[in-house]
Amino acid sequence: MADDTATGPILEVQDLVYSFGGLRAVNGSTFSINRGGINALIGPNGAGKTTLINVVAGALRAESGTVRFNGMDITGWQSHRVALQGLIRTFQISRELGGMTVLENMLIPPPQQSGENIFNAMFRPGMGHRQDKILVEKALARLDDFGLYDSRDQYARNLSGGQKRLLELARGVMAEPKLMVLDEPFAGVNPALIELLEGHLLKLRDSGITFVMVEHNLNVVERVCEHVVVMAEGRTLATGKLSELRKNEEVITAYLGGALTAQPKAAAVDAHVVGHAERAEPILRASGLTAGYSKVPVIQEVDVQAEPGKVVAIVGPNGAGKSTMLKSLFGLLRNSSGEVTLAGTEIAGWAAFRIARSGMAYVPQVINVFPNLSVFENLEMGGYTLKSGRQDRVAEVLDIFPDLKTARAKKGGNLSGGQRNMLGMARALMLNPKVVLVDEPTAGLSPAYTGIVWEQILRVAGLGTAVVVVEQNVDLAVNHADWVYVLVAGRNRLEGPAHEVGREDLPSIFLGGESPANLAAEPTVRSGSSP
Amino acid sequence: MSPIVYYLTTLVVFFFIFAISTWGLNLQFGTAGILNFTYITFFAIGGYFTGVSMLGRPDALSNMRYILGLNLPFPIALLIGATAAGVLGLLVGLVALRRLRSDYLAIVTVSVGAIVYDFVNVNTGLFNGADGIAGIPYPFNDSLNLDPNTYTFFYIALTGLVTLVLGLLAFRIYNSPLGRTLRAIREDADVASAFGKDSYRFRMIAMVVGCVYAGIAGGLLVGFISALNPGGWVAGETFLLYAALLLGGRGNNWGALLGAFLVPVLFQEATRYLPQIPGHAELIPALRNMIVGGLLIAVLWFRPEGILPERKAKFPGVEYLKKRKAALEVG
Amino acid sequence: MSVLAQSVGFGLITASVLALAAVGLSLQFGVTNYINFAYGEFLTIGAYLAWTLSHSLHLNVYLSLVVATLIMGVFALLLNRLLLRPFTKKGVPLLFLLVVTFGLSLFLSNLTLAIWGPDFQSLDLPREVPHAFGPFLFTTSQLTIIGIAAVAMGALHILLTRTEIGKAMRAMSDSVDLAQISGIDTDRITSFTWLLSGCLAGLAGIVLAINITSFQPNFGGEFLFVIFAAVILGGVGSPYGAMLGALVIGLATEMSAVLINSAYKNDVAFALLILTLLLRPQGIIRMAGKAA
Repeated sequence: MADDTATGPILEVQDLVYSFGGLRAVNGSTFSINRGGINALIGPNGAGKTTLINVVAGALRAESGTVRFNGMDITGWQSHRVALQGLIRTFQISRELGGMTVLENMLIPPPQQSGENIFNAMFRPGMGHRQDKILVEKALARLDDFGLYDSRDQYARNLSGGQKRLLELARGVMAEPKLMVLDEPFAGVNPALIELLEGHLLKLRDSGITFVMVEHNLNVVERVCEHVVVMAEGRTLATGKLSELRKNEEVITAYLGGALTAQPKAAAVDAHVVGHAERAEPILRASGLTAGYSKVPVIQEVDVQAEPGKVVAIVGPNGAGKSTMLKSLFGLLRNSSGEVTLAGTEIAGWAAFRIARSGMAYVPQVINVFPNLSVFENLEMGGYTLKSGRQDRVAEVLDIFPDLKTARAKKGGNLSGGQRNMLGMARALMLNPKVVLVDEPTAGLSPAYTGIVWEQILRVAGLGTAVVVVEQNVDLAVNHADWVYVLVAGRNRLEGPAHEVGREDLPSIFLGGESPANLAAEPTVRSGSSP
Repeated sequence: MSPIVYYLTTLVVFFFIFAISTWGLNLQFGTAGILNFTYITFFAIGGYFTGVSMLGRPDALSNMRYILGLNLPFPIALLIGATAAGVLGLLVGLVALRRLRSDYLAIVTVSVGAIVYDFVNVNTGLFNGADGIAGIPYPFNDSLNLDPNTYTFFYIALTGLVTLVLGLLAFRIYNSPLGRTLRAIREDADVASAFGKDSYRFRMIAMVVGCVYAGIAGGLLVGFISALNPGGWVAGETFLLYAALLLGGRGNNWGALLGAFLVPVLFQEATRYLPQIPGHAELIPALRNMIVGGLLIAVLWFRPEGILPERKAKFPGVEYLKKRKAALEVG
Repeated sequence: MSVLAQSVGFGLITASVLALAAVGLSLQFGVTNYINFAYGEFLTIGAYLAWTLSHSLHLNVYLSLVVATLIMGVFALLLNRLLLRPFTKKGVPLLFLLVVTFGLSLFLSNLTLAIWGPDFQSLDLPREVPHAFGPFLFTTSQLTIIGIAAVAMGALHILLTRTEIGKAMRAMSDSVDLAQISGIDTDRITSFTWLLSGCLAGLAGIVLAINITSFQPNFGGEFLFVIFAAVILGGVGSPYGAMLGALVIGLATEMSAVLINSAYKNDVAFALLILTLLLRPQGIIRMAGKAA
């Protein structure tokens, strides 16, 4: 048994490395977490936060570096061994045991259940039942505390999205953890519940549990976290208090892609259009778009439009629902509602392949090429529905992307990250689409390649295509796009011509702080353009 | 004894044997989510080892070749049979349970089934090959010396006792924290291991104990019919048990019991004595198996939870509930 | 002819049969991502169809081979449309989908038994003449089997690398989502994959029947795990891996039959399967993006 009165940091991560294929998701991360308190792990998308959690908790095996927990080297341990030491993690998407009741879910985590031994289970059932009785009392008290008491005998799969988040936390506590690592515990949680969940975290902290949580909602971090670790590109960038980190140039650059030089104005809370600009007749128009996974809506009532030959950028803090919006536009999410018209045709509810055939293309962020197909074959697949002239079209597209021309016989899986993103875009252009949706084309790329990718995006727009780009790097978006939408917490926050949006107080939207308006949990009812 | 009484007593013994088998399968498939497509092989191994442990040394007179020949009393022989089935289950688990995808385990079990079947047929020195072993003495009858009719009733009592004990244990396992953890692993192995459960070890327990159940069932069958040959444990028998479990209700030991009665006993026996069509001896059994295969698919389409679905765990006599209720009444 | 050369010759024949079967199973697994446990019965039914066409309907043997192969393709296509696709559309978990194919295998093997009876049958090619190639000696039917497999593998290679539909199959095997995004009608490709898988299974069953000279209703099912061994050894989901796996298993089983004992042919295949699972579960050719 580890010594509970031990002093020193509870978690020490040293030079940790983990890669997926060629991408180093965690690249020498180093930090330590002291006993007690709630700590935050923040950073832009693709910083490697979830991967880091998975390595620390033993779900993935570190390539190099060490993880010390409670003074013990746990590097390379399997997840169940890590858990038994008192390091309990939760999951980003609620992982309730759906076919079991809420109460049974609560009874899984407690360690040292003698009834789990096969001989005790068969020949000394009283032992397990006596222990169960104590555990059930505990679990019910905890459920009561979390407002889940009345749902105790429901199958966990029938809980609402918010209740599942509560169960995820309550269940973790049943494992009697010393340290809890929470992966986005507030993702998809409505404002009323945020307050409740924060209250529970603070109470649990006071009972002696140390927390590390990955969180995108910086207002929450501001309120409950004493200590913040900022990650970017797989490394630890800075540590300290959020109020100080907010002024840290490096942190601002990591989040926004560059210090925005313009004198910021205070941002209003209602969705609104900044500046004055006429927009041309849109080719793609979406209004009132609401979508999400399972029961949790990630975006709500979002309006977006794009016009031919222009680049529209979608920016926003992590968890704003940017990627979800693209997927929803492309018919990849089942739980979508709202109107989407492409060149005047209503396409909401269509299957993805039908949308692809009617003039819209989509470049996903992660799996954007076929790894076992050559570059040439990848492009052919992009032009799958072309009746004739496919080879000519491949040649035309390769002319736009000279980098790919030389690699045309290589397998997609063997390309560099930047080349893959290029190939993803090139594949999307094969059908000569009217609209291209691009999801974070510069994530994980070196600055040099970032410029090349945006050059290509502008070139594509120059051909008369409407391009909708989700961009993590606000600086790039403001400098290259024609029109910028800012999404916050799944809703439109502001929009306008890129240079006008660039003059807004974006750091406060992204990192919170200064403007008191941002401390409100959610933007209020939007009053922007008419539906 | 009239033929009808003889027939019914036989059916009761078969029902007990099928009940034990279905409970074992419920532990593997219904509780732990392990896809063992050759459950019947473990049944056969249990049966063979029980048989050859009870037989004396092979001699020219019996005209059979087999291993062991230990002349052991039935309880010890049954223990050997159960152990043999458990050890084979352990070996299969060592190869296949580390992979989480259920296809791999299923492939390994199908292959093990084919190989063991082949091996037993080819290596006639093991269990007398395709002819199988026969003439196994009736358990306890050398000291009881009962006439065949009375002995059948004795055997009903014997298997009934074993069934009662194994049934009790099956219910205990299911209702224990062990059963709960196995179901958690079935639902989501990642979550279970995030709470400190070694899913490989837990699934191995379910695999081995389930195979031991199969082995005991096989041993009881051999004690009853005094013989076993490869024709008695073809792949079709595994389907019968899956059909029984799915129809009765996977994850519910009462469902398993109901299924064991409905499919292998009621349906199978009801059709076993249908008139043969001259010249087409295989037709009726083939049609019967087609119905079992069809039933398996139909249950999964129309009522995948079975007649008696898995039940929510109840925790009676919990103080908190009473306190809470009292608090409500006061407030 | 030396014993060793003889065993290599037999190995090539077995590998040919196995390659047809293994590629068909692997292609379908790659596209649909679940294993079809009724695949062995596809082989059996293919052989019986060819037997009925040539023996009862007196069709030319080669013609009945072609017709039976095509019928099996349509048969597999219909099975997917009427049975398996409804289950996948319903979102049935993998565990139950596998049980469905398992139940289907019982149904089909007994359907075969009910229709054709338990007796041994044989599919014979006319004019059995020995042909010598260097150290190898083949009969006409053996040469035909190798020829059929070689032509089929060549045709498959062209299909997968040169044609639109073949490339779409490979694309789907990489990522169904990305295939849909690219405008590929994944339902149609899945149907085509089942058609192709059925044809290959039927053809494999026919050449297997020719090779073993007499067959019974359970011969395909009994061959299934040897097919699994080839598919897993080569790398699940990779058609070229399946060809390679077939070659290794074919040679290994036949050479061990000559060098050790013919009774242990299957055990060698089994040992290779277990060793692969223990030592290199992703197989010889690892498919990027396919879970091992």
